[in-house]
Amino acid sequence: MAFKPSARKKTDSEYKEPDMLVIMNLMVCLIPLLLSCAEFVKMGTIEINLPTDSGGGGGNSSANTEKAKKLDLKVLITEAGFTIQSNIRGIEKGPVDNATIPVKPGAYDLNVLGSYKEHYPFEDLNAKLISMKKEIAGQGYTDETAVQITAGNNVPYQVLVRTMDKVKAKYDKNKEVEMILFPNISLGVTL
Amino acid sequence: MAFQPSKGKRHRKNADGGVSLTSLMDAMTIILLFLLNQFAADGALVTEAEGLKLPESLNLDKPKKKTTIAVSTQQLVLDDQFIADASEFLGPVDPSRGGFMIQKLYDELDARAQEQIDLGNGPDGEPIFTGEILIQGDRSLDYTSFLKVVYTASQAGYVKIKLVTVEGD
Repeated sequence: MAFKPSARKKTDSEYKEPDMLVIMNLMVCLIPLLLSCAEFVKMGTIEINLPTDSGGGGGNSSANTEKAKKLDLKVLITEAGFTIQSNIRGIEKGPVDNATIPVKPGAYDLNVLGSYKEHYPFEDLNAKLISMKKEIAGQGYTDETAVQITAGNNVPYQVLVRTMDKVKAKYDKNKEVEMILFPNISLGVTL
Repeated sequence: MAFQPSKGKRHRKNADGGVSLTSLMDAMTIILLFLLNQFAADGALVTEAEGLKLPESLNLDKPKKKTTIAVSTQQLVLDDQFIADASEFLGPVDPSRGGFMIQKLYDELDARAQEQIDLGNGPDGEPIFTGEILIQGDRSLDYTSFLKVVYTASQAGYVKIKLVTVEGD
């Protein structure tokens, strides 16, 4: 039977493991702090289509294009609101400044969270396009997934992007696509 | 009278009360893996350019690193290279200043496109020049200025345009 080492043999020269506990304590505090400070932002992209050479001319359409049944959906964003134009309903004029869906009164600030969303009625636009999508379903429009978005000179980029979202699809509460609307987006020019 | 040491305690290494760091190290490893997983990406990361706030969007197709134009209300930057300041592209269309064309941006994009076209195909047999480009625009940028950038890029051959956004409600 081995004897217990003598307590008196302990000397200063004995190897001591460095005390990591203090450093680990620091790490345990630092990591949650860094995590709470970090901003986890998911980035994404929206693809846009450029107008084709034949687009917008009107007079140069070939015989095939004339025969094709076209919806020719356009959404115009102005400071007054959204104006929707299509071959089935023409320009849908609303009571205020001819906008189909007028903005809500008051100003908005892009730096204030959600302010522009309250000003521009994106949900109404989405609802309108959902009803249009249902109306044209199965009617053989060759451009049933296409839309041209045009905006006034001073319309902010954020409003344009949001409009693209609402034109593209209907999303559920979990931000999942519930119904595809008009995903082929092109941009128009106001002169 | 001294008692005989307990047999159960015989194999304890830290008889002096030292703390085992194994569990802490496990926790650190898990956190590290979690962070690595969060930052994992296919290829290079697309990072938000300085001096601009990207717009919010619900649509989140993952961006892949491509030639990127960053347009803020102060300057226009192409892949971290300064191209033009605000006075050269902001505001309404002026036919005397090239209309929708931003000449400096066009020259740079055109040069890059030609360079890539001259290189031909990559090792995978696909053309190096794909015509893809990312646009990072500040959320307060006006539509006309944005359109000028889009028009200039398309004239330089970059026709597959993607707008970079951040997740929002």
